[in-house]
Amino acid sequence: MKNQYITARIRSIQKETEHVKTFVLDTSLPSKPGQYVMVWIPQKNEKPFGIVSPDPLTLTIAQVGPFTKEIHSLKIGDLMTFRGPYGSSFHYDSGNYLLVGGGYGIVPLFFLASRILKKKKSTVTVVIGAKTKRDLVFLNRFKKLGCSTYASTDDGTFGEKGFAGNMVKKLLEKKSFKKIYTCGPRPMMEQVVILAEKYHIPSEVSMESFFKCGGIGLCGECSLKGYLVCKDGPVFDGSLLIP
Amino acid sequence: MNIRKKKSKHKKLPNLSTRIHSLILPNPTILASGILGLDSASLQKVARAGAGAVTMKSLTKDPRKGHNNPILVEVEGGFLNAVGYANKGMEKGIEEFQEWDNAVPLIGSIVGTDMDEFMLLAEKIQKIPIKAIEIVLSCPHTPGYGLLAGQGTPEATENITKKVRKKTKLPVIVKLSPSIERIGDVAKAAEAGGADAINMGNTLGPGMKIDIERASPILHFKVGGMSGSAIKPIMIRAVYDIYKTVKIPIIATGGILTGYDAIEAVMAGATAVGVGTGIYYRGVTIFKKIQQEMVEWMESHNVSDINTLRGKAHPV
Ligand SMILES: Cc1cc2nc3c(=O)[nH]c(=O)nc-3n(C[C@H](O)[C@H](O)[C@H](O)COP(=O)(O)O)c2cc1C
Ligand code: FES
Repeated sequence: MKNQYITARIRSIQKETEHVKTFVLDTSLPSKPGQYVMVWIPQKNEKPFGIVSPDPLTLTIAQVGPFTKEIHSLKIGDLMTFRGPYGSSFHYDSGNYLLVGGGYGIVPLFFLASRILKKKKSTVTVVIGAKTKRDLVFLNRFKKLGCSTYASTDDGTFGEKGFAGNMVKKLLEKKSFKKIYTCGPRPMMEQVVILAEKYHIPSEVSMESFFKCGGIGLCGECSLKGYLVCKDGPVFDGSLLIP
Repeated sequence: MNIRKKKSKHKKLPNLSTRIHSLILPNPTILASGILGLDSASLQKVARAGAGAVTMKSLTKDPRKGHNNPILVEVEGGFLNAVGYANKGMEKGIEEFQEWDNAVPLIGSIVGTDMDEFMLLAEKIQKIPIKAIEIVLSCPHTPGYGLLAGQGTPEATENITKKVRKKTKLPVIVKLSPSIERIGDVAKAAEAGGADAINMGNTLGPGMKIDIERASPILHFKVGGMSGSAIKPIMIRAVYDIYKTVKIPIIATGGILTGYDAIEAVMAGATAVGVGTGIYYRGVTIFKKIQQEMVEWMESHNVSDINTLRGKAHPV
C-alpha cells in the first residue's frame, strides 16, 4: 500500500524571516527535486509542501493561515506526520541553468540547485523576486551553495527595484542558459516562460493549486487544462502557460 | 471503438453496447460521480479514454467547501473518503458543463437536503446537455444529505424519485447505498417512484482508519465511505438482490477494476458498470482495459453480445 503516513520528530528549526521557518526532521525521504509531501496535523488539516532537502527531510513553511500557524507553533522534538513524496520532478543534467523564484516560490528550487551543482561543469544562476525585503528568503542559502544570485524587490527595499521578470530579461540579453526553471505567482511564471521562449530556451514551471486528495489523483480538485497538478504536476513544461 | 485485435480481423467483435432507457452506451463503462468530474476538461479526458458515459461530480444547490483534509485515505482493498460534497454549486456547475459536446454522454448528478432542493436541481441541471439525471440518496458521510438525512428509506426514496420524475423526460437514475439492509425494498420504491435505472451504488460504511502514531482517525470527518475492491462482493450481492426485485436496468458501481469484474456484475444483473477508484490503480486507461478484457473473455467463451449475459448467475 502506498500513501502511508510517516511520523517523524522535528530535529531542528531555523527561522528564515519573521513569517518563515525551516523544519528539519529526524528522517530521510528518497525523492526528486520538485516533488512535495502532504503534511497532516491530526484534526486540523493536510496541505502540500515542497521538499527542500530529502536527507534529512527538510521543509520550509511560511505562515500564511491557521494551518501554517499551527505548524509554526511546533517545537523541536514534536511530531510531524506526512505522506509522499508525490508529483512530477524537474528534468536536468549538467549545464548552466537559471532558476527564478517569486516570493516563497524559490523554496522548492533549492533542492534542484543542490542537485544540479553535484553535476560536473554546471552552474546555477538564481533570481529571487519578493514584494519587500522582509519576504526575501533563501538568498544566503543559494549563495552558500555556490549559485550566482540576483535579488529584486517590488518596493526596492532590497536589491534591484522591480519585478523578477525584468531582471530575467536583463540577464537573458547577456547570457544564455540550458533551461529556465520557475516557481512563484502565475503572472511572474508566465512572463518568465514567454521570455524563455523568445530566447529559445526550454523552461519548466512548478504550479501551485489547492489540493484535497493531494497526490492520489481521484478527487479532481486540482484539475488544470485536463492535467492534475497534484499528480501530473506540480512540475510541467513551460509551454503549459503559453496562451 | 478501436479495440480490434489481430486474430479477430475476420471475425465480428462481440457487442458491448447497451442502453439504459434512452441513454445509449457504446460500451458499458461509466465514470462514477465524484472521481475527477469537477470540471469539463477532466471529464473530456475520461471520455477520450474510452468511457461509455461520464458522470459529473454531484452538484448541490449552493457552493460547498466540504470537509477539511484529509478527505481520502488508502486502506486495505481501497479507500475511505469523506469529501463532504465539495463543489462549486449549481450555478457555477451549470456554467462549467454547458458546452459539453456529448460525443460521450454526460450524466448529471444531483444531491439535495430535501425534496424542494432535488426538484430545483433536477429542473436547473437540464440547462446542461446531459443525457440522464442521477439522484444520489446514499452518501454515508455528509450531514444533511443521503443516509445521514434519512434519504435511504423506501418512503424517502419513492417520494424524492417521484418529484424528480415530474421535472424531466430524461432517464432518472437513483443511486443507492450498499450499506442498506433489504436493499430490494428500496430499489422497488425507486422503481415505483418512476426511476429508469438503479445505480448500486455508493460507498460502503462508513468506516474508519486510525493512525496509531498520532492516535487519531486520519479522515478529518473521522469516518468515510469505503470504495474499491474490498466492497465488490457486497455490491455484487446487492445487484443480485435488486435484479430479483425490479425490472429497470442496474448500474453496478463499487470495486470494478477489470473486465472480469464487469462480467461478474453483468451476470449478477447489471446493464452497465460504474468505475471510480479503479482509476487510481489502472489510470484513465482503465476504461479501455476493461473493454479489452471483456471482449477477450467473451471471444474465448463464444459470447457475441454482452446483453445475453445479464442475470446469468440467477437460476432459470
Ligand atoms: C473521492 C470520492 C468522491 C466521491 N464523490 C461522490 C459524489 O459526489 N457523488 C456520488 O454519488 N458518489 C461519490 N463517490 C462514490 C463513487 O461514485 C462510487 O459510487 C464509489 O466510490 C464506489 O465505486 P468505486 O469502488 O469504483 O470507487 C465518491 C467516491 C470517491 C472515492
Ligand atoms: S487534489 Fe485530488 S486530484 Fe489533485
